[in-house]
Amino acid sequence: MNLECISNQTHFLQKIRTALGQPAAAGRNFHDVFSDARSGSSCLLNRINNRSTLDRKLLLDRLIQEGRLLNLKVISVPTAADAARAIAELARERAPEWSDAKSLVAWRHPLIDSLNLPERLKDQDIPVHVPGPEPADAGLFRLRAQTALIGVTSADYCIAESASLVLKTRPGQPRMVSLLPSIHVAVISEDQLLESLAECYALVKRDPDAEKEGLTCCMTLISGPSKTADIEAVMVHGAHGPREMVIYVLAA
Amino acid sequence: MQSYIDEARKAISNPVLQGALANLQDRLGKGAAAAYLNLAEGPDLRLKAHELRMQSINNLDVLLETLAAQVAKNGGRVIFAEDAASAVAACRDIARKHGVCAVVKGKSMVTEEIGLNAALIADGIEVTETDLGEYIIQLAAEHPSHIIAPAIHKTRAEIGALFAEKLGIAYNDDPPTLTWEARKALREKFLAADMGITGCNLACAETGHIAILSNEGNIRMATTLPNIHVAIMGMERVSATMEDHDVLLRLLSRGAAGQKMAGYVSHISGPRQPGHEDGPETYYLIILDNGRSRILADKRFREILCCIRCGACLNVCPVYAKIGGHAYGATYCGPVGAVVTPLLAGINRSRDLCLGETLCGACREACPVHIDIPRMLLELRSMLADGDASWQVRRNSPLEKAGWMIWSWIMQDRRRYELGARLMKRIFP
Repeated sequence: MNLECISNQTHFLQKIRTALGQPAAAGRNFHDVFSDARSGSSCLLNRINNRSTLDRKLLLDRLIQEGRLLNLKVISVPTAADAARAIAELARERAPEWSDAKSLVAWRHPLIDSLNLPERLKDQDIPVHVPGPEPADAGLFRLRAQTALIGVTSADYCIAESASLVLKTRPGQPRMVSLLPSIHVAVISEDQLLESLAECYALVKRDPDAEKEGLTCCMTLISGPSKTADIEAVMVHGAHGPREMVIYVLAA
Repeated sequence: MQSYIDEARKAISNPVLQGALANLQDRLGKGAAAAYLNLAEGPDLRLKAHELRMQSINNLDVLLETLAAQVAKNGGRVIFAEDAASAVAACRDIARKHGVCAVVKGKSMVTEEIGLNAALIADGIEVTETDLGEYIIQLAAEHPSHIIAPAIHKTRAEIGALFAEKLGIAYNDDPPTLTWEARKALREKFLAADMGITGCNLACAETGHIAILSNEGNIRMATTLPNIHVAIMGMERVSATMEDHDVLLRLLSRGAAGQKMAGYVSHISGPRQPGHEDGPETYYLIILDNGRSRILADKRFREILCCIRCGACLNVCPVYAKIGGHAYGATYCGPVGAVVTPLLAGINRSRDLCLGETLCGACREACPVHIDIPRMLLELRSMLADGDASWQVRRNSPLEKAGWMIWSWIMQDRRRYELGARLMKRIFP
C-alpha cells in the first residue's frame, strides 16, 4: 500500500472515531471488542461429527423437500455409476443452447473423475472437457465452458435447510463450470450434507483442514437454478446462469 | 420540493403502476413476514440482528481497520473514499490505469448514489447494467423505482416495445422470451467486459470477505469473468464475524424476497489465486463515507446505519404502495429513503419525505434488523418544526411554530385559557 492510501485510511478512520466519540488513538483492537464465539462453533462441530445415519437421511429428505420449492432437483443415487448414467441420460434429452453440438465441462475432482463421464458419453459422441493442469490452458477451457450444455461439479458442503450447495474455488475447480453452461449438475456424497449455514461457517472457521484453507478467493452458495422476476413479477429460470440444476447425492 | 407532490399525484393516477405496486406488496411484503416465521430461532432473531448491527456500527473504526488489513492480506486493494467525487475518481483512475473499455455492473444502489455510470460513460467506457431490472431501466434511460425490483413500474408491453427498439428483435411481451433475449444480449457483454463493478451486501471484518447476493447470476458473472473487479460499499456495511453473517444473510434473504437464502451468495475474499482458471486478477474494495460519518455522530440517527438495504420496508409501506419509488426523487426511496435521503442530501431540501410517511410502524415490523424508522421520522419532523443548528435545519414554518407557542402559552394557565375561550366565542359564536 502506498503512503497516500495509508494517510487516506488514517484520516477516514479518524473521522469515524471522532463521530463515535472515541479518543484519537483509542488503541482498541478487534479481539478486545468482539468476544470469540469459539464455544458455539465447537458445539456445532461436535454435532456435525456425531451425526447418525438416520440424522443424515433426515437431512437428505429436508434437502429434497427444500429443493423442490426452488426448482432444484435433488436425486439420491446408490453409486457413482448411477449418477453417471443419469447425467448421460440428461445430456441425451436436453437441447444445446450456446452451440450446435452438445458438450460437457467438468471439475478436476476425485469424485467427478470416478464418474468416468468421457466413457459414459462416448456413444453419444459428446466430449467432456476438464481443466488442464497448465495455467495457460485456462483460456481454452473458458471457451469450452461458454458453449457447454452441462457443467458438472462437486461441492464442499450442501446445506439442507436452504438447499444451498457450497463451492470453494480451487485449481481445476473454477466457478465458471457452475455458471456458464445451460445446466448445472452437482454430484456430492451424503456425508457432505449439513443442516444450516451456521454449521457451514463453523466448519470454514474451525475445522482444522478447512480453517487452513479459509474461504479461498471465492466461496459460492448456490440454491437452485438462475432466476428472475423482474418483468411483472413473473418467475423465469435461466436469467444469466444455468436454467436448470440437479444434485445427485451418493449414499455414504 | 414540489416534485414530490407532482410525482406522487402522477403515480396515484396511474392505474398500471397502482396494480404493480399492489402486486409487489402482496407478494414480497407477505412473503417476508411468512419467511421470518420459518427461522429456526423465530422472528425475534430480528432483535438479535439489531443488536449485532448496532455493536458493529458502534465499533465501526475497529471493524474497518480489521477489514482493510484482511483484504490487503488476501491480495486485494482497499480505497477509502470520503465522498462521492473521490469514489468516482478512484474508479476512473482504475479504469484508465488498466485501459478498460467495457464495464459490466451488478446491481448496486451505492453506485447510483455516487453517479458512477455517467462518469465512466463520459470517459468513453461502455457501461452495462446486468441485473435484468436495471438493464431495462438503463435501456429506457430511467432510474430504479425499488431497491430490489428496479423495473417494477414497467409493464411487459413497455418492456417488449423497448427491447424491440433497442435490441432489434421482433416485438413480443412474453416475460420468459424477453428474459432469454436479455440473457443472450448480456452474455456477450459479460464475455467481452474487462471490468466488473458490484456493490457489497455485507463485508466480514474477521475474514476480509464481502458477501454479494443475487438470484440471476449476474453478479457471479461480473465477479468471475472480467479481469478486474471493483466492489463499492457504504462504510456501514460491515459486520464483525461469520456468526454475524449467518444471522444477517438469512434475514436479508427473507426481508428482500421471502427466500431462505438468495439464489447465489458469493463470498469474495480476494483476487484469483495462483493456478486458478477464473476470477479477476485485480480486486479493489472501495469503502465510502459520503455523509455517513455525520449520521454516525448523531445518536438520534446512528441506528439507520444498521440498514442492509433489503427493501422490505418498501414492500409494506402504505405510502410507497401509492406513490411508488420515483416520487421520493432520490436514490433511496420508501421508508428507509425518507430517513436516509434527508440525512445525506439535506433535511430542508427533503422535508416532504419526512412529512409524507404515516408513522404506522409497518416498516419497523418488516425490517430484518428491526430499525425504528418511525422514531427517526419523528426526530426529523421535530427538527423541521424547531430548527436544528447541528444539521443546519431551518424551521419549516416559523409562523406555524409561533402559533403553537401561543397556543401552548394560553393552555398553561386557567385564566388565559378562559379568556381565550371567551374571545373565541365572540369571534365564532
